[in-house]
Amino acid sequence: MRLKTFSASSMSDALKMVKEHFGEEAIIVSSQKAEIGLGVQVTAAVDTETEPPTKFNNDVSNRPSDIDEKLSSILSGQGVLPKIIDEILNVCSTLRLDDIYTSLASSIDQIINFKTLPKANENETFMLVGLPGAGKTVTTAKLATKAVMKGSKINVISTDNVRAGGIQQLEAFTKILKIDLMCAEDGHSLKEAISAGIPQCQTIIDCAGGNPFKKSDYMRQKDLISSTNAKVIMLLADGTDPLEAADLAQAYSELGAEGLIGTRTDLAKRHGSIITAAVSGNLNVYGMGVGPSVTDGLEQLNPVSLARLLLSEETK
Amino acid sequence: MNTETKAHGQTGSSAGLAQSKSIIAVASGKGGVGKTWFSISLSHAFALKKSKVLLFDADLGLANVDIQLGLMPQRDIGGVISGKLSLPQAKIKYEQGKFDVVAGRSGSGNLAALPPTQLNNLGNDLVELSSNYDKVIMDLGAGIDRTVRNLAYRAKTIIVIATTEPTSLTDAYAFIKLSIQTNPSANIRIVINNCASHIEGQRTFETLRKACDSFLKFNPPFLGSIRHDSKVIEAIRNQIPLLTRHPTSNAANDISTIVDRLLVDL
Repeated sequence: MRLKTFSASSMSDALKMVKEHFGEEAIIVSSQKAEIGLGVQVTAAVDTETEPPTKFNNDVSNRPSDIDEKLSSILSGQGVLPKIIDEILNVCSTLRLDDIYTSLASSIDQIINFKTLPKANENETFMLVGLPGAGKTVTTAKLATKAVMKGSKINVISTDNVRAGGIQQLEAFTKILKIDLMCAEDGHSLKEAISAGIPQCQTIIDCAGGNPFKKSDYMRQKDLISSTNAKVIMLLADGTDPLEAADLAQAYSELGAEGLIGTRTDLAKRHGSIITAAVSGNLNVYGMGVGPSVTDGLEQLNPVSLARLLLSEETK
Repeated sequence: MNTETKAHGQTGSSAGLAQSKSIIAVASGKGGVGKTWFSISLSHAFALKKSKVLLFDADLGLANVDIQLGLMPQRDIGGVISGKLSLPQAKIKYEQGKFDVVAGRSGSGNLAALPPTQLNNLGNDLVELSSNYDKVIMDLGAGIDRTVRNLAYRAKTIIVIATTEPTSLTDAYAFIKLSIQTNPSANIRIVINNCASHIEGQRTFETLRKACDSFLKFNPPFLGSIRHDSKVIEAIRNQIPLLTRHPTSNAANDISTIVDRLLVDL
């Protein structure tokens, strides 16, 4: 990377200087008023080749065409649906980056949106939905633990009165965290529970698992979702069959889901279902569950970490 | 890739080299930004917070942890590399700071050019030894060569330290770029050292972050800034750790804040 600070009397003059000196590729990394006199100071950067002084490994060829081929075989091995692989490779071929990680990460960045995991101090409501066993209750516990450890208050509501012991399982966690677990059966009681909660803090709603393709389950879920303005996040067990994942993501997206958390990522060998679900349901990727521990079992995902996950089996 | 040895019950890595959660590598790219001083202060601050700490001087070419601490080590990394000592035998107790040290050997330029097998063995031994400690602070050499990156690979967390100087930022960026290519699971944190104020530190970090974000699609988190403090130079000249000599100075407070953040996050 090359870095240079330009001083000029106006911002447009400074930007002109940046362009003249570095060309179109430059980015502005900082700008401020000049320390002395009038005018502005703009610092710009361009990336240059960083050649390692000695080769660390030579497993990946630097020829972009090889990268496309290699990516295609890795992604299909990971179970990413062919049409999504094509989408990724299309982006890759326009980027023409010289290494496989950056190629995949940059392509993922172009086709999937990422959001940060719910932050404890944000006054927002999140509803976790998904198939039975997707990890909604444990993820609720993880988010609640995170909030409590940060010293924030949090409301936790369970609508899981379908499964035997559904509420009790969550209660085991909330008792330790000294949170009053609230319960709701339908949209009406959910609305009441939300308004009875501690104001001005995060609320997590743990929904009962259901089958979005079954009418009664669909209607019940719809009722819960439409009674709140919660951000609905679909939980998907990593390693799910990608075609199934694509259908589920579309169904939950129609129900109003806008986000996705992959769970049991540490137990899966193939991670194609996450990327497939995100693209198929147009869902924002929030993070992934990486273990049973409620204190550190939830990790942020970003284009680089998702690329890393998809490539990790390959490089083992 | 090299798959010499598998992890000793530690977190495996994509390159087959063993890694350890407790190892924190301190890297900079550019020399002279305060890496060794920071590593010592970080070790000391962790020890003061009751962590069991090992400071490993991984600057194999120009080691100077021992000099900053005023130690006259009878045993050092040179003995390990020549096969006379095991790594646990090479560690010495630094009584004053209540942490252990594996000293480097300054001026032995040939250590910097260690062959890959020996380098891997050294890394494996370090990972194994790290299970006896809460934190192992690894003071890496300057530069971005194979030795530095190979050793950095062993750490689950890498602190990249930079100053407000443009050369320091470009070298830190180069280190980050190569690190995420060869060690994509690295948890990289940024520290800005020797800045006039925390505002300047934050601004400098933003410059580096924007470059990483734009060119690498990678957003390293900010770990903190350390303000310029004349007491640092004074402590180094007297070969006494800052946290012993000036425990309430600005720089000491800033180090302590960084350690608190690491204790919460790691």
